[in-house]
Amino acid sequence: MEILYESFLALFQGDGWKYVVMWAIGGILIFLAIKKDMEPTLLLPLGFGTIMVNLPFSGAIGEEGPLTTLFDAGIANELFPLILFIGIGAMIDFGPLLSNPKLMIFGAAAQFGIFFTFCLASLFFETNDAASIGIIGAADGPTAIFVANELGSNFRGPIMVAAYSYMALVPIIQPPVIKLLTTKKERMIRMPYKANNVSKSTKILFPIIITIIAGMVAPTSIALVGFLMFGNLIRECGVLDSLSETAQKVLANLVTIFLGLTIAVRMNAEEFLQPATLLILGLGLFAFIFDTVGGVLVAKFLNLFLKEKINPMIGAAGISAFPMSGRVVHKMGLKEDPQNFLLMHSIGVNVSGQIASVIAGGLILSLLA
Amino acid sequence: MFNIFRGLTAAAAESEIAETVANAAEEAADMSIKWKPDDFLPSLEIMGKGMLCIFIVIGVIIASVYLVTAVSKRLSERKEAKNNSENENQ
Repeated sequence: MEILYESFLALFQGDGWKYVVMWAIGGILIFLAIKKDMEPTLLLPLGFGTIMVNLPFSGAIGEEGPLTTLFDAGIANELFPLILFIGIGAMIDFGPLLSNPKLMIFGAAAQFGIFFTFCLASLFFETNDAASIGIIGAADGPTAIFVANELGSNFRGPIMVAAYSYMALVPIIQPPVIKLLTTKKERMIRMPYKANNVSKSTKILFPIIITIIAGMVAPTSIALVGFLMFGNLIRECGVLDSLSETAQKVLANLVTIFLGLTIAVRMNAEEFLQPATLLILGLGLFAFIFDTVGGVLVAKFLNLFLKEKINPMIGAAGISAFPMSGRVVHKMGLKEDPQNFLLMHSIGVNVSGQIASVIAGGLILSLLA
Repeated sequence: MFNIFRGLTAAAAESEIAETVANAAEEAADMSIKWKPDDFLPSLEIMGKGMLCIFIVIGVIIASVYLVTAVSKRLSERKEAKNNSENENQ
């Protein structure tokens, strides 16, 4: 009874109201996950973890708290995001991309938002925090967690919330930006799909080549790129079907549970309820918008020199929010012209965005080392 | 016994609150927003380098994929030609 009294007292003393606000935020995340189906695999455990962490004298955190123990075991050393990347790599089919490799250029272009947001954020934050905020534009949770942890950012909580929330909001964020940058005529450009057979050898060699090239350029990215490509290799090799299935389902789901719950350790009221949080959420949105801008503008630029024009909308699919961004672009294409099937192109670009975002994360770490 | 337990619990709770507040105060100092226009130009340089590097890396990957695809195609064509000639001989 004494503890109950002390707990209630804590809510009405000093900054106790902040706990209640964080419960509301946790509740909102849970609502978005369940009712709106927005990235439920992350937002639901994150929301629930936020409530757990912000109860007075919470036993879930602290020296002997299980969430803190899990955080130290898997987030502080970036282990959970890397293991999750094995599962993500095992889920990705690089076939559409390998049948038209030049689409990867849009994956690179769509990382513009990361660096541009880094520049803007550096006006308000220290360099490591600015870079961690910029990496929200990678539209990739594990990369954002990895880079923010590696750089020792003080804003990991808001960065995680921004990254995962905006990933789920891609169908709302991207279309107006794409429409603003393109004409109706451009959106109606047809891109017939010619299925080029991609050999098994190519699919096996691809992840190995990516790891070597990315590792030579940005050694700090080897863990990120390597784990992603390892996952893809066990998928494509053809002799590890059970491992591939385990990685795609059991491993990915298990790590996702731990990741979502433990990242909430950084969602405590003292860290989250700061004026900086609103600014970070705003900059995160900026990052996603300018990712879209980068991809579309590069496509329009290339069209100046190409005889066979590219539909500039597929540039927007270079954002790493897979497969949502690819589907958004495909749907926009069908809306303009019901006979224009952009899916295979947009998914190819979307997949290249996954690779490019991981490389961008590694480059950020290398450039700031 | 219960009074001792209450006393210990209250003391533990009080020290925990004090520790949390102290930690929060220390951390809050690092989480303020500062206007730092001097950092903008160096960050533009990092942006330029970053975008250039990513395009170069992706360019190398694209070239590698084309190379591997071409080699793979040539090898499979040779293998097919060899199989065809073996079938003809039989």
